[in-house]
Amino acid sequence: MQLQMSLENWLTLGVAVITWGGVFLYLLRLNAVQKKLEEQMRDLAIESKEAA
Amino acid sequence: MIWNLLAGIWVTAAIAVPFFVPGVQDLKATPIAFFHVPMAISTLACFFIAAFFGAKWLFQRDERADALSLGFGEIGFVAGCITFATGLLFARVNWNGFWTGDPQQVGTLGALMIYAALLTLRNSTDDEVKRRNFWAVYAIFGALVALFGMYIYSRIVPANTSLHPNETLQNSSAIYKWAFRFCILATLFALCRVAILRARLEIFAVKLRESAF
Repeated sequence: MQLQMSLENWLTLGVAVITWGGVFLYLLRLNAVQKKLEEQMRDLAIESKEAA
Repeated sequence: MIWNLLAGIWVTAAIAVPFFVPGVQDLKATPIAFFHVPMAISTLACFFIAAFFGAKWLFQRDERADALSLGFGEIGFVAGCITFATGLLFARVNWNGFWTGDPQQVGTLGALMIYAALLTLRNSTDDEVKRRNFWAVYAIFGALVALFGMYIYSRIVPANTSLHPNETLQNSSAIYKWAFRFCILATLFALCRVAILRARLEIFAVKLRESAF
C-alpha cells in the first residue's frame, strides 16, 4: 500500500473533508438542539405538575 | 455522545483509507469511488428505510415510525443532493465536463426533484394524522422513484450511454472491495445517526406543538 496524491486526489480529499465536516457539524448541532428540547420538555412537565 | 464520536472516527477513517488503495483504470482519481458511490448507495438505503417506517406507520400507527420515516427521508434527500453536487465536480475531473447528460446524472436529478416535491407536500395539511398518512405513501412512492432514477434507468439505456463505470467493483482487487464496503458502512452509519437525531427532534416538536395547544 502506498499513498497516492495527484491533483485530482487532493480535490477529492478537499470535497470529502468539507462535506463530512458539514455533516458532522450538523450532527453535533442536532444533538445540542435535542438536549435543549429535552430540558424544555422537562420544565414544561414540572410547570404543569405545579399548576395541577 | 459515544455514537457521534464513533461516527466521526469511522468517517475520518473512511476518508483516509481510499488514498492507500491501488488505483483502478476507469477513474482518474480512484478515491472518488469511495466517497461518491457510498454516498449514493446510502441515499438509496435511507429512502428505503424511510419507506419501511412509512409502511410501519400505516400498519401500526406508531408515531416513532413516522418520525423515523421523515428523518430518513430528509437525510436521504440531503445525501442525494451531496451525491449529485459532488458528482458534478467529479464528472469534471474524470470526463472534463460538469454535466455530461449521463443517464445516472439525469435520473438522480429527476429523482431528487420528485423527492423534494414529496417532502414539501407533507406539510400541505395542518392535520397531524393526515400529514403522516400522506407522508407514508409519499415515502414508499419516493423510494421506488429513487430506485428507478438512481439505479435502474442508467442500466436500461443502450450500452455505453453512461460514462459511469458500473463494473469497477466486480473487476477489482480484494483490498478495493474491502475498502469500498468499509466506506459504505461508515457513510450509512453516520447518516443513520443524523436521521435518528432528526427523528427525535420531530417527536419533541410534535409534543411541544401538542402542549402549546
